Amino acid sequence: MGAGRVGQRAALVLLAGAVAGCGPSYVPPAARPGAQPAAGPAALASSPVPGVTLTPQTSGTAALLQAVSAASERVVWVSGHAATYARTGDGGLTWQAGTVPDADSLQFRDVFAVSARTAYLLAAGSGERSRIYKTTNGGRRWRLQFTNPDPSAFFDCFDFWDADHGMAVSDAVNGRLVIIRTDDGGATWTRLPDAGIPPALSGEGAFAASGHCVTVSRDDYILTRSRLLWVGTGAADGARVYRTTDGGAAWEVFPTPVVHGVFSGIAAVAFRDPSHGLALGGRLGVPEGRSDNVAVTEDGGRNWSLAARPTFTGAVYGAVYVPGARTPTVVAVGPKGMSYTVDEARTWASLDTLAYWSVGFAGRTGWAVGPGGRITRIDLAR
Amino acid sequence: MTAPLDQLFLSFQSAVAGRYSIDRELGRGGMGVVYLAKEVDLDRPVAIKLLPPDMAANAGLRARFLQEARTAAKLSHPNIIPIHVVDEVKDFVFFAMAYVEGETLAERVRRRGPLPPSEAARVLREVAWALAHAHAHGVVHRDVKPDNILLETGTGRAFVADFGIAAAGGGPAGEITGTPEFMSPEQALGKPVDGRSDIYAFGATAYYALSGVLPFEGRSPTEVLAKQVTEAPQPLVISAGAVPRKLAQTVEHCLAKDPADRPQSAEIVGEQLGLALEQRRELPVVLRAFVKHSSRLDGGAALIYPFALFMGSVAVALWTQGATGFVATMIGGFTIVPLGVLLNRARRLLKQGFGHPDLAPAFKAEIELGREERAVDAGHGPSFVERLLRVGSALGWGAFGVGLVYGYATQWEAAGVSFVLGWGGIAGASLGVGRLILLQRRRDVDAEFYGKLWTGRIGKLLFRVARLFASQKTLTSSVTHRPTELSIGMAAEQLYESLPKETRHELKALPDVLRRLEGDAQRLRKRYDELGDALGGGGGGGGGGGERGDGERTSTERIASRRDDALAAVREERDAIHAKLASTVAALETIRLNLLRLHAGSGSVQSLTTDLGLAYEVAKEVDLLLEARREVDAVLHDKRER
Repeated sequence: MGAGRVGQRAALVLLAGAVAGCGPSYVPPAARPGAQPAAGPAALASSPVPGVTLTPQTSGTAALLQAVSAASERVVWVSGHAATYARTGDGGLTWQAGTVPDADSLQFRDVFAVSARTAYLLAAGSGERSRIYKTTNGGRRWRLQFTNPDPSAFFDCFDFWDADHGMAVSDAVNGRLVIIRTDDGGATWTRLPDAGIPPALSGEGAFAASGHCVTVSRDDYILTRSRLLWVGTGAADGARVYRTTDGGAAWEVFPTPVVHGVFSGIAAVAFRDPSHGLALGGRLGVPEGRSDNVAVTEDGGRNWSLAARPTFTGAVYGAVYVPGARTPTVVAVGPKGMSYTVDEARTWASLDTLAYWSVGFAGRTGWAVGPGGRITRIDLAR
Repeated sequence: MTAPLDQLFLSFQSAVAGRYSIDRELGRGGMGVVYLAKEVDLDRPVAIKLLPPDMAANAGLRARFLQEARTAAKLSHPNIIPIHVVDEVKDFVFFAMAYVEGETLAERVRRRGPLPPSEAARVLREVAWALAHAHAHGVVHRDVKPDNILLETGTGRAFVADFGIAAAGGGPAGEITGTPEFMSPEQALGKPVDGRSDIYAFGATAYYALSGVLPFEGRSPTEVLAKQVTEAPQPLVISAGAVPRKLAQTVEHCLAKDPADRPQSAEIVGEQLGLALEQRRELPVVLRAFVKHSSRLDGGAALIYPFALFMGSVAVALWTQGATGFVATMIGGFTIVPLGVLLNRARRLLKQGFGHPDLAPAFKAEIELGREERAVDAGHGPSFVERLLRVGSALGWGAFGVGLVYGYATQWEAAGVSFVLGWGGIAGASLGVGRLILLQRRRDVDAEFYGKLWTGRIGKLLFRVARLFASQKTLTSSVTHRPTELSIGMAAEQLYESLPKETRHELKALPDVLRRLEGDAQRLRKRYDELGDALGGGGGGGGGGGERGDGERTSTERIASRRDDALAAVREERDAIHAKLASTVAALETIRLNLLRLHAGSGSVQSLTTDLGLAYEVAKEVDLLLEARREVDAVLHDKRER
């Protein structure tokens, strides 16, 4: 049995490699429902770069949207300020926006979509304004799963390996990041003991900008059941990446060359496999300037080297790998625009100059969100 | 990004100049670019598929691609795009195939949504035929998907493209390519594949064509592949709604994880799709209206009636100055009036040219349709609450019963009897009603009830009485769509009824024989349909993938061959039943023809009695056949029980 399962995973790994990225043999997935939005504001669709199509969509809300999670190329959830969330079941042709009752001043700065019916929301804020909600019926009812009891904690981001296993991270309190974990679909959230977490720098914390400050490797979890997770942080004395490979029992922390400061550091970490990833961020309050805001790793986050900056100025708020792309592709967004790279941040190309806080992809289709309820669908041809 | 492609276009065109004149690019995928070109010699349009230069540079890949394309080029089938030439010129490796003007199935679904079931069944059947042909010639497609199926403009004919080409693109052995969304579990796990892997991909394609939704979706190819291996797709009836049961069964059967649980050949799939195509017969509107509305006692009148009856009974009681009048009116009102109403409706149906035998298939169709529709919302099994209500209601009535017995035994003097009776009754009734409401959401209880009523003994009786008040008119079979045996039987019966009394007396055995033949034919047809269902169904699902290697393989093969044997036996029985059905119908037909001749004055009672004798023989044979089957069933059933 055990051997059989390992064999199966090994084969899947082999294959995933062949289809997901490196092999020249990847035949692009065929039927993508709604891949070319036939209805809606198709007339506004534009193609800044050959092979990429941007389509503005109607979200039904004017709130600042700060997070995206796509469960598939049809099912996507987004969330933002004023307790707002929105979801689509048709790749964004139609969005249904709503607010979570009795939570009107909360800011949902992270979201995780399990399916069209099930999703998690993370409210970021001081003390009890950091909360986690979950729905299992498409948003008709939201259950409050977690309220932060510690007045000095501030939860920034969360991420999930699957529908049941996830982790949320708060800024450091008493010299340690506050990290909570669930293994039962959020029914219980337990705080990890301080002992396993490396000491924090003074004032160290993550940035609740896009929901990308915490990133798991879901593909690796599917293939090997190992629970990898990275956290990007910033502080006056450094911008660092925390890593666990066992779901939070043991942690390591590594310095990066990304610019650091009180309001500077890493806002997004993105990994395409257990080894290859990017850390992106910058000076979060300075929209016009440029800084060393992208670092790349090839050893799972131990060693980082500076890479090229995206085309837009200011900080990068959100960035993700495109899971269905033939060559490793990263899309990065910030208040000054959207860029993408197909060579691990050696070169970047501009996609848009509008403000975006976050971006999420499934297959080769993505959604970028920003102020005023902005949602832009991104279709990559190959 | 476009520049190198233009370069490719130019250099390829110059390499094949004189042979092909390239018009434009039609599309591109992982296995290369497809150009529309004109073959200069024959002056005909062709589609040229060019292996990407980086792949062509790899000698191994190149050889494999050529070999696969040459094998595929040997295929000749009306639903396979023919490959004219496989060639290498300089650094270019390509093949030229017939150019089919149209769109791919994927484009069609994207543009206009899911295909209507009947059209989907037709298209899919053609694809299944193409796969069957290829498999018979030892070619496995390995990348069946909506993008590889072309629908010709005008004719709608389906063409399958790119046979075996995907296999050529793979790296070293074990590394297989394909499209995650349509990849079979065994292919996803890097195991050897055969035609049954294509059948899985075909199932996924069919699922998409019917629902517009992929059976498995995810964030990344890995996630999709993991689902292919470990998850069951959402039932088609939920994803797509109005897909006929048999069609849905066939598709889900194809999506079984274990190859041994799928249809074992594309030929079988085609056959099942054919059955699914034939299955749906439209009901005439009169019958549909009867089944839906006029068979029932409901609506406003039915609500007001009890009240009106009560008031009337009170009036009668006052007039007659006694309770007997009240009771009699109530009982009469609750039996005679509904009976009258139903009788009248039966009479109307008869006047419209339909008879009692038409009702069974009509109700069956309606109930089946209702079941399909309801399954979308309510799923298939009873919910927890429904079960709870059922148990609660049973307990309530149980208490009521116990109270009744206990009360009777104690002469109604024991304390608490009225309490138990009251609450037991109330609980039983109210929970029972609640359960009925939930059940109604899941099943068309009304239609089932009235279906039983009308097709059963009461309905038969109602129609017999109603026939006294109405002469039935004959309808052409094109209007009724009733089974042949019924229409012939009914026609013969009418002819018989209109014969002179003496002749009828001479032929008094005729109605009996007719009825018997009719009954036989109906039973035969029912069995025939059941067997068709079995061939079409086979219970999809299928457990997890077999991942244990060689030991498992032999058992898988054993299961497969057993399955084939079973299917062959079923097919054999179906054929036998079909033959008997034909002779039964022929016997009926002979009788009708003789009756017609008799009417026309050219036939004789004599020849008819001879035919009746022969028909009797046929009926006896059929009885024997069906009896034998019942015995076999009984034995098998017994064995299973043990």
